[in-house]
Amino acid sequence: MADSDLDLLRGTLDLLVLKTLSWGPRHGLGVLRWIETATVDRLQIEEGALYPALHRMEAREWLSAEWGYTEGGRRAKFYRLTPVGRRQLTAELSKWSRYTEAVGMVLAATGGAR
Amino acid sequence: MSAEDRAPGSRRAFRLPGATRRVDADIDEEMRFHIDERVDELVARGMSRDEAEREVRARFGDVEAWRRATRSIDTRRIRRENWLDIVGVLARDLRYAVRGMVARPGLTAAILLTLALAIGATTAIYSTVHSVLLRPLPVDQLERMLVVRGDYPGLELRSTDLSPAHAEDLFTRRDLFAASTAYRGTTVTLTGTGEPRRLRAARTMGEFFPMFDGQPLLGTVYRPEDSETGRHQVVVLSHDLWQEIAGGDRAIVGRYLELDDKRYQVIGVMPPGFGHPRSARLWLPQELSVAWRSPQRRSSLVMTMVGRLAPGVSPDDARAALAQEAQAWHERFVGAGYDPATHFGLMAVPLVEYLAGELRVVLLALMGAVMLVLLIACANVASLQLVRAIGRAKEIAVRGALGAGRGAIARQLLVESLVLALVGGALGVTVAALALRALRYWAVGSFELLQYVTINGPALAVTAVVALGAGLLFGVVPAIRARRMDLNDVLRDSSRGSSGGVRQSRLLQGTVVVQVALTLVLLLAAGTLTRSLGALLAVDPGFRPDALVTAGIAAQGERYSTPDARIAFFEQVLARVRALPGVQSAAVGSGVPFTGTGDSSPFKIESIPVGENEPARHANLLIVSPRYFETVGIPLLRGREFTPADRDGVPIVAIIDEMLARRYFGDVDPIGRQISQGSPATIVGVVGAATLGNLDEPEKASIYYPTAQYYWASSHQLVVRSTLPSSALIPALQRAVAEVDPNVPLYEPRPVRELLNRSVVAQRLSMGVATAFAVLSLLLAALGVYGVISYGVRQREQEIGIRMALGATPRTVMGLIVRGGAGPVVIGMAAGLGVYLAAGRLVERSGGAAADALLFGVGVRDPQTIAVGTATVIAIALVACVVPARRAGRVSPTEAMRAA
Repeated sequence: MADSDLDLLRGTLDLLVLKTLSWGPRHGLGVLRWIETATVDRLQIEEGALYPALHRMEAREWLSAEWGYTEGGRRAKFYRLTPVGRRQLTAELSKWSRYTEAVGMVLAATGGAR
Repeated sequence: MSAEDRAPGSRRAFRLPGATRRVDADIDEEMRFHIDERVDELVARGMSRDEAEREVRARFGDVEAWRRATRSIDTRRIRRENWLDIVGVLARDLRYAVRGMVARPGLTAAILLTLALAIGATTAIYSTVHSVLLRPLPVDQLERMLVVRGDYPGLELRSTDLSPAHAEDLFTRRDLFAASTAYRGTTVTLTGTGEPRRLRAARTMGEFFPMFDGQPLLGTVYRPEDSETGRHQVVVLSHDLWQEIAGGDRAIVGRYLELDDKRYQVIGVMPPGFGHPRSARLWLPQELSVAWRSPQRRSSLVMTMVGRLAPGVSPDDARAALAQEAQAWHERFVGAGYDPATHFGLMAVPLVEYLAGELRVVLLALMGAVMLVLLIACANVASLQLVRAIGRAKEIAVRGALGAGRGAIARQLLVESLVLALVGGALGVTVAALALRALRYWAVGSFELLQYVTINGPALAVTAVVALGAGLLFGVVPAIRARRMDLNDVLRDSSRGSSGGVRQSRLLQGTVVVQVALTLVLLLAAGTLTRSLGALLAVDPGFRPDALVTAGIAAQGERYSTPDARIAFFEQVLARVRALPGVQSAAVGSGVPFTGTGDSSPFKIESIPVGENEPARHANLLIVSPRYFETVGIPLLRGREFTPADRDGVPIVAIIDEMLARRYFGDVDPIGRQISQGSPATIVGVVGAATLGNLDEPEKASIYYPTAQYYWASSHQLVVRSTLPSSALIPALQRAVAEVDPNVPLYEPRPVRELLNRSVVAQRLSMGVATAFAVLSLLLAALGVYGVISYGVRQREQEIGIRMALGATPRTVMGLIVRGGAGPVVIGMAAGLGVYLAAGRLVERSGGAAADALLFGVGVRDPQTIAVGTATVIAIALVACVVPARRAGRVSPTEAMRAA
């Protein structure tokens, strides 16, 4: 994936991660799997990109992280949405809907009003 | 997680650089988990492991790149958190520190006061030493500059100026001096720009401006060749004079000024900083006329000559060459009108030393005193900090037991000491600034060099580091040691027996010994200086300095080119002044005491031949008007005063002083005898010997002549005895002179008492500062002794309680405590007395005029001074012991026992 695509996607990825974690704590792979399931594998991202995103959000204190064990008994780092992260999710969601609404309006326009 | 809610001293999860390693491991593990899980997932779906790994890596992307990206995010975060952490911890330490300081206001105040006074005093004195002794002029190669002085051992004139012709000869010695100049301070009357002004000026020859780094602000400066007659009527103005007379108008250059009724063209203006000699407000070439170059004028010793040593020439080389030069002159001028009876030599003094003059010894003495004060202060801060630290041993041990690391405790103590140090340092700067202001105020008009002293940055830094270093060392180290002690010991109260306690008591007692010893040294030195000043002020000056005002007055210029005009002018002025209400008497003269106007020259008494080994006959030549002795208050012992009848055309008369009469005439009546100091005169009177300028120097004999017969003098001192305060008298005098001639200024009017006081300002200054230091160190020592004794009392509270339970009275307990404190005090006093006597012997042996001036009329081993000094220290030490001892006497046995 090229850098420009990443930039475009970064905001979206953050939103997806926040949304996913709003259901409960998950490790990185868990977040990814949930996104895959939810989008029925339609949204393909380079998986490694997830980690800078997670750590950045952790640094901003949107997420908190803790080492724990998976059901299979493997050690993994679990992320949890913080109250700050929850507020951020709300803000991102409304931003996203305004954005898609605007894009949708442009795409739905007939071009007659020139 | 912010720094706030972490326990003090606990370990953080992340710490650089160990933290980075941890971050790497975490990221690795996180990503490996992801990849391994994925691979397992695909294998479970039936893919071969190799295939699965390839697939997973393709989906993950460049593992290394993602790891780097993640890692940089984490590192940045850790860095920020660490920083916040440090700030937070420091802020907390700071709060603790301030709280701790406020909780012990007495101790805090004592430490701050000590630091402030020590840093302030040391900085002020060192700054003074620096600007007076080390860098009095902002000039290149100052240390290579020598002042060449004349020396007439036969006349007891050991350091004289040179004549212009001498200087001119020396200018040609390029092998000795790469550059050289000569100058003399003088005064000129400026007319034609409003009020007539009497201005201090310098007449210079040689490379004056290049040597003193004089770049003109406007126009140009004159050159050595401008000293030739016909070219010499040019003038360079100081910046402030230019502002004063031309309001800063740049067109001043090229204009003419009337100086002593002659026209001088202004060729340049100097920048504000330029000022050598300091008081000069304008600079003129010293004219080198044919007359000035004649052998006869070689006895006009008026020029201060300064040379900058040529490269590779040492001061001693120069001295040797100068001695040869003097010898050559002697041979050249014998028989050519140059008096062969007077042997003439040349000496060289470093310019810096010459400029400092008598201040040099004073400042070096003060420097010694201030070093002692600094030492006392260090000992004091050390003992106070020790007391503080020991008092907190319990607290620190508890904190250590609760898990605070040694680093955390050290940091906390360091911050506390630093806060103390910084506040103390800031106060110190204030004290230094105030001290320098006081010094400037004190030194007005007596030591011009002192007017330009500013705080010296490096000095401030050094003293601050020394004083604060002592504070830090003694504040932190004992506390750290306390940390290492066994908690049980400390909590059980380590009063007796524990080795740390004993060692600290020893240290504390050591600081008491040092403080007491040094304080006694300072006190004795101050006492000696005080007695010396008292003896100096008790010297009878030979005249009555009170109710006497003097001012300069000069009848110069074309209008006063004839003797008759000058005589008439002074007579008119005197007539008007005497008519003023409140004026008892008035006179003019050239030898008014403490005005620095006197000339010394050889004399002959025909009737008394010169003895075999008799030193050359030399006396002050003073010219005075009728009623001078009555006005100044010099008693007439025999014969008569001058009268208006002693004028031109009648035989010349003279009055000699008692000293001359006794030394040369003995029992013979000198009245009617002939004396010759150039031209023969008949002695008509004998007056008392008066001090002319220095209370501490044996005076030279004086011969007085009437103004109307020695009419070549054009400037005199007016002296007026009056009941009026000088503030009322001086304007009246100025009006009286202006009524006679508005173009003649009356300059530098001053009460004679003030001039006399100024002549002892060096002694006054050293006495004042030494006394201030002695009082200061007494205070510090008292604080130190008090702190140590109180600490001892607190340590021994249990013991005291037991003693009192067993029947000891408060009185015996007090005795016990005071006796305990007496030990170090007595040792300190013995040491102090020893140091003082040794130092005193050193000063006496080194001798010199300056040491004599400082120790006028008192011995270093003056028993009275020593008795008073030791008694004072004993009294203060006793007070400092008794206050805590009384507290010990009030210890309640039950309380003390329960505390155990």
